[in-house]
Amino acid sequence: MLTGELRKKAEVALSKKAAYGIDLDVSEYVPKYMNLSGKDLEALNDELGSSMESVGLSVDEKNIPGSYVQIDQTAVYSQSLGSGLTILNLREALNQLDFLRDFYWRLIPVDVDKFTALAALYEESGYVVIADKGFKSDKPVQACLLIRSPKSLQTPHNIVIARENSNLHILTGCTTAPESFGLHVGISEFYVGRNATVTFTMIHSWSKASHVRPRTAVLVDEGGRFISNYVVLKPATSIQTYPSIRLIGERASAVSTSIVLGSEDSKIDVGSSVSLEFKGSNCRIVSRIVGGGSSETITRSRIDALVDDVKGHTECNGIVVSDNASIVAIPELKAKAKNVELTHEAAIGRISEEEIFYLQTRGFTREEAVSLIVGGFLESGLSELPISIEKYLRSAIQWALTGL
Amino acid sequence: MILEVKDLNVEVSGRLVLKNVSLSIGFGETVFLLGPNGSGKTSLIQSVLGNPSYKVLKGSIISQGFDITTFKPEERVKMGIAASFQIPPKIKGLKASRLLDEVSKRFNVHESYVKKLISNFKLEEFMNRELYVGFSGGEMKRFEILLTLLQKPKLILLDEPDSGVDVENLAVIGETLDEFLHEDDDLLSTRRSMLIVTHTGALAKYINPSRAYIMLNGEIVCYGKGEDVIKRVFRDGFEKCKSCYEKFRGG
Repeated sequence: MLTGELRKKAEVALSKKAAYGIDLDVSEYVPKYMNLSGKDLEALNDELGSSMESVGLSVDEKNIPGSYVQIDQTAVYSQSLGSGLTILNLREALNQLDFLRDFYWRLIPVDVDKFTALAALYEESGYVVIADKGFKSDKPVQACLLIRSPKSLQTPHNIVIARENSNLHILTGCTTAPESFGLHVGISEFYVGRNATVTFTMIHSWSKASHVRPRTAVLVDEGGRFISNYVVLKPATSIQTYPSIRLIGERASAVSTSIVLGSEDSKIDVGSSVSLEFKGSNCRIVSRIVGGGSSETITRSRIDALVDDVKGHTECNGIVVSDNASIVAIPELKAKAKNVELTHEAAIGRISEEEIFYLQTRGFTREEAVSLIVGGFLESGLSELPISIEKYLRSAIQWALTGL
Repeated sequence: MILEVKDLNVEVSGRLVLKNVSLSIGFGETVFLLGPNGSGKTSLIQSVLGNPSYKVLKGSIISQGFDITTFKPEERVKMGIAASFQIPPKIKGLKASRLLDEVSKRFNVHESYVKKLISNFKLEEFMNRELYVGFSGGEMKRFEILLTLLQKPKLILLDEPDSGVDVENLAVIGETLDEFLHEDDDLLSTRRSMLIVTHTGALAKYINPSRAYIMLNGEIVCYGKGEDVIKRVFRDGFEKCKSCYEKFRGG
């Protein structure tokens, strides 16, 4: 799928370290392919079903506009169930839709670092979701990306296009089969058209030994709105992601939220950057981080105000619940015009003993009280989600906190 | 006795806040604890609840025959002790409705009863808010009492339930508490008891205390029949109690 020039660039970048996150020897991971074709999600085996349910996805496809499922490097299912919505795997989409080349590797250069290079060179699958002009659904398109084989390299390349006045929700659950682990490098390019809204919720539920390097970029046109909720509730060896969002039209807006429950010895480096490039555009970057176990979490946020009459706010809040955990908040604000409003707030601390005692007097044990406080803290970061996703995330957070 | 405090001495951050305090409450009894601001009333409630910041130096706290002085807070709750705080902490992120659901589940409270209390206390619109964030003083009191009642306690400790509450809501609080006190009172040992800490005594209009104690500077300085003590305090003020006590002690 990759043209000669892109391939060359990727090959050169294969040894280029990423700007953030721990470095990895990527040669340990190998792409694995499955000889499996599915006609219906219900026909897939129990293993896949339970993996999907573990990240909040529906196996029976009731009330959803469509699904995409990928196991290791193989796209096993892609189906749109509604009109005005296209869901294809990348290979099919590039074959069928000539215009897609204009959206392919446009927002993310292949040679950003060794991970984008790897994703480009081993590119095989990924979802392409296109919401036609005026398409609206309050139910999410769901995508499941499962690493099933040990030491598997998974490199989905996703392209999402929301045409003018459309309203699209995407729920992506990424997980590993029991006892498995691997390296996941997801490339996601989002194009939010005029007055369109895209709500993107990504739940990462990896196994302990996995490494995760998603690379995401977003372009939002006039009046468009992009809302992202990135949720990590289980330990992985390392996660590093730093999506970049460009607001290029008047009144374009973005809310990017990272909800992280750091546990065990995970090394997590998350956040996002937003570039305000047209008057009237505005953004909010939010993080809610809980540091447990001996986890090390860095939360980054950067807002660049390039023109007048724009607003940006970033808030990083963290709670450290273990003596061995650490949280670092790195907010950056850059103004290149006079009439801009950029603000940030950051607070990292421990749970108040007064709050714990108060809940104990309501009958909860100390551990239960901590769970209630931490759960509420994480949930408070969730932004503008459909009820079904919000409900799922709330219960997932509470479940993840059991035994914190 | 549902509660017997014996010769209790308590310190907070090295400061003695309760001095040789003794107080008792029988099954089915309502007792007022009166005293000016800063006299140690809240310290007594916090000590009975097991707040770890309140260090018991001497004395004991006994409930239903058990010495609960070293019990964890949640173990005291299991004994049937629940409290409405004077100033509960704001817990950002924790929705009021979530805590209400969890408490209702824990104490097996029927949904219709929860709804009835929410409606009585006019708290419907606060359910989606973070706990006590943006609540007025009166709203906070009503929600505190609501949570306390859901715990189906044998002993309710109310810390200044009448301060900052308007007349209408005071009536709702008074009547609801009175109703709660008189449910299931066929057996002596299942009768509900209450300790009301107040410096205004405004709830006395709705709830008749059998006894009242007066606390000054961390000490119980006087007690007697509820009606009589309240009448005297609000006629002569706490200053008179002080001079009376000093005279008594000196004599």
